[in-house]
Amino acid sequence: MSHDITHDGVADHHDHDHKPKGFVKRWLMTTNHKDIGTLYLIFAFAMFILGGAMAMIIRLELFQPGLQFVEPDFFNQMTTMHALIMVFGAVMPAFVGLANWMIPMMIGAPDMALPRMNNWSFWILPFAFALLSSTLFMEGGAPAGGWTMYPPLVLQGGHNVAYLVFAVHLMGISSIMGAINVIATIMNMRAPNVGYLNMPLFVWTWLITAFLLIAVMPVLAGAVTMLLTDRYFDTSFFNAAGGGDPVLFQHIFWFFGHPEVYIMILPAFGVVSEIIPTFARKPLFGYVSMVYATAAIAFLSFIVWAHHMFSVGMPLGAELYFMYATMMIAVPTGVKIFNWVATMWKGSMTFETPMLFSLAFVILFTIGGFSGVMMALAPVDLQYHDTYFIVAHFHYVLVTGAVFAIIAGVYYWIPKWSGHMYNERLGKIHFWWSTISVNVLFFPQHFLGLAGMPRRIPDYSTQFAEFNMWSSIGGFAFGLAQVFFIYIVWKTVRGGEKATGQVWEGAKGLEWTVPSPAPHHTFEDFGPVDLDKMAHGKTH
Amino acid sequence: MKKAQMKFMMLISGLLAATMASAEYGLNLRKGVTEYSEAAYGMHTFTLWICIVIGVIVFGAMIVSIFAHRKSKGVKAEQFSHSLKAEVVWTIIPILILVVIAIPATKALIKMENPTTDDGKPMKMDMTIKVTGYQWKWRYDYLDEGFGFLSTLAKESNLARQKGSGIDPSTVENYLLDVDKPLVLPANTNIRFLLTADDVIHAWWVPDFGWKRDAIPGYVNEAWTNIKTPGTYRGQCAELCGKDHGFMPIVVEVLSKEDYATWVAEQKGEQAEEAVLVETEWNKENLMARGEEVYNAQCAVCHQATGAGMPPAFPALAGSELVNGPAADQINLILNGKPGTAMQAFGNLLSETDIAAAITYTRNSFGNTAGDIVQPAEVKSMKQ
Amino acid sequence: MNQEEKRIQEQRKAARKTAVILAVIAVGFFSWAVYIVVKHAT
Repeated sequence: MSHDITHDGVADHHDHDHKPKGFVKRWLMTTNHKDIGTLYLIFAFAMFILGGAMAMIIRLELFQPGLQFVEPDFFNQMTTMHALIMVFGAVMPAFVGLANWMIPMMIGAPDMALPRMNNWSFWILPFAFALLSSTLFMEGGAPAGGWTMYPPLVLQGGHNVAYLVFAVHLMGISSIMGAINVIATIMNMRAPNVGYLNMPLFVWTWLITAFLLIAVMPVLAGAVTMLLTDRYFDTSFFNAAGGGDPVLFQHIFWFFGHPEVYIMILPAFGVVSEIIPTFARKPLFGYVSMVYATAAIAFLSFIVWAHHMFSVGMPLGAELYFMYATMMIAVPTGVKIFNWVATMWKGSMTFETPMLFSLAFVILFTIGGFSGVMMALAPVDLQYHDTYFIVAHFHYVLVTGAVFAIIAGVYYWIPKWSGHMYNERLGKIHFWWSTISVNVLFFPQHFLGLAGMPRRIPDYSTQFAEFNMWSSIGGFAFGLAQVFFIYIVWKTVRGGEKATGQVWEGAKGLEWTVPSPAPHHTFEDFGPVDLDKMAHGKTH
Repeated sequence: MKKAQMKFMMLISGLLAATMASAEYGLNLRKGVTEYSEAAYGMHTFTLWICIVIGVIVFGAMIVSIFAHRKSKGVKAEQFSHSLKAEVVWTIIPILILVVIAIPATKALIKMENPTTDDGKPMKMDMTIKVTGYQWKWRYDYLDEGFGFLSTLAKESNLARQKGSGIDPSTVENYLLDVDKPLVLPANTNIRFLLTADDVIHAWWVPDFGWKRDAIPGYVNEAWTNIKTPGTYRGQCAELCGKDHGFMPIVVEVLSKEDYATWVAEQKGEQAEEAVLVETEWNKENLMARGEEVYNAQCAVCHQATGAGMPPAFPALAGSELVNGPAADQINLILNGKPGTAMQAFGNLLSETDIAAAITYTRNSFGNTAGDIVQPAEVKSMKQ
Repeated sequence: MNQEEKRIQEQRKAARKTAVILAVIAVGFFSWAVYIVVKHAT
């Protein structure tokens, strides 16, 4: 009967929602996980559009050989800022937004464990990105040394170095606080009868992601701090002339950077693992092995960093080790993909927009995984490295991987957030438009890379013209599709068919036991929940 | 819905077909002209096919499921949710496949890093080329022969690549992949490369040789090659190195051993002539003419052909205090560079004659009125 | 204070403890990264 307690408890509150009145109290001073989740998602979307606009400039310049629109230095500023904004401003905050909204509701907690810190973690972000973006208007412009910030090049950047470093510090602090909050919530705030192996996979992947964040964001902070002292206080941590070591920066950076890419993809695995069972009307296949695979990927992510550096001239032994370790990642990742396919197998599938994006995720992420395995091979990576092949690879895993999963998650949960169903027809148009254009955008980049086009160049030899043109056309179409997405989301929030509490026929999980839109406060009684309602409630 | 499925199928099959077609129409990795590049190509092709086969199986299962196991067909979902046997199988099989891929990869990597002859002895290198990366050009030193030179983007490409140049890149031969003076190497020779950089990190890459290697300030990296066929091979810098990263190509001309020997002799002759020129007293006219050439090839990339520079990173020379001040200060700066900026130490990059000519040119152009001329001998004396 | 509120209080206290431990770990990783570089540079 615990089910009724939950439900009624919530229903009681529904009529007097206790939402703070006024913009400042409601949003600026909010400690409510749902409002903070909304803020994160809106912020992430704004950054996605800003970073996307930069990508449009990049693709516009690369539309034809020759320089038509921007100077090379500005082009480099665009590639650098595009990456920083997309990684730290769009993808990561979007997942934190989903975590804020869904984790408490998925484990039967009334809110995040540390609500005031939660407010702080979010409100740091606009300042961080204001700082970073302001460099665009400085004399000398924005950072142009690549998001990897390799010295000595990055140190040639004039005073944008200081802005860049402090912006990264702020993003880091925000992420670390967010991660601490996620772990504290999951470890301490679960409803009394929810065990670790009852938790939805999204919660699991976020728990592991949060540990990765706590381990590596401080390492990045340390590295950029030393860049700052090298630039302004005459230290020589990374300056060969002063006894430092520029390659050491790369080791430190990628010790952060490789787990970072899993920070961006593990929650995506979580989202997709929620959606596929719902629309296959069948439990997630191999739940426990999915948890182990996630943990294995996280562990491996710490010991493979130097595969980003096969060309720096490491000893043979190190190269062999990093090659083998990197190849091992294919094993747990493969397990995940096989489990998703097995989840669909003999299910009773329907193809609403979240499911379509999730299916595209499985296929296109796998294509990104294939090129990943190819690049793990050190002797061939000496060809692939720093070409458009890698650009294609990481955009397959990050755009058709992480971003597709975020979009799928938004379609999946927006009825719960807003109380309205999105327009299914528009959603499907958005899906096909995005999926076709994103492949026109990134698939030819494989060929460009193999044919020998280096990455991060504003102009190219005429032999690369045709595929670049295709890629740019795909890019513009994909960009436009996301503007269309804003319209769909806006329309859904403003009105539309009323959503039921259950929303999806096959959905399981505590978030579907509360009404739609989810009331401002849920699971306030802190009591036991009905495990039958959870996807992994009975078995295991 | 039916239409949507069709599109989905077409997309998937299109992707696969495109991948396979690439192997036939030259969009694939190049086979190259060294044993190493061929090994890399073989491994690439092998792994690609493995990926395609796995893709067909996995995506095939998905597509079957998408068509057969759908609610609209009245299928009722089964409720099975785990199978240890399946998990073990799809853990073990990928491991085995990875082992199969890893074996040739290991062999190729050992060949690259620890080259040995067929009987297991360390391979003897016949000659050594030192490659130094600069913003934004390469310097090649023939360590065994005692000469070296800079290699920068060819003039035609450089003109066409300026924003708003009005020159159609397709009318320029080897647009952005051509240099003023290519690296010349003999075929069928074991060549050791020592790679380093002077300012920031660069990477030296000729796809036909099969590898790239970073050129890092403060490091000397090693690599080697043995090119089978004479010909011209082109590549580019492959590590972001600042604004003109896209404009520092690599061109290698590979000659037969005999032709190479002739070429080396020519180079040595030219070098001797240069040595004489340094001791010669030059007149202003000749210095200005040579200076303009040197300036446009080496300096204009940052300070612009008009001397206007691109402040704040690249100061203007027109009206500059330094350029209009005492010549000794300017010579000193050119010889030693300015640490922490893109201004390199040109002392070991250019000949004394070139430096003297370029300085003379800047002091008497762009409205600068220093009026004096700088003799190669002055530069030489300050260098010592 | 009823049973429920008491449990919430305890949970919040435990959460704060977790947070402090995690923050210390984060500072530890920061120091470790700096230590590695400083050691290498000298």
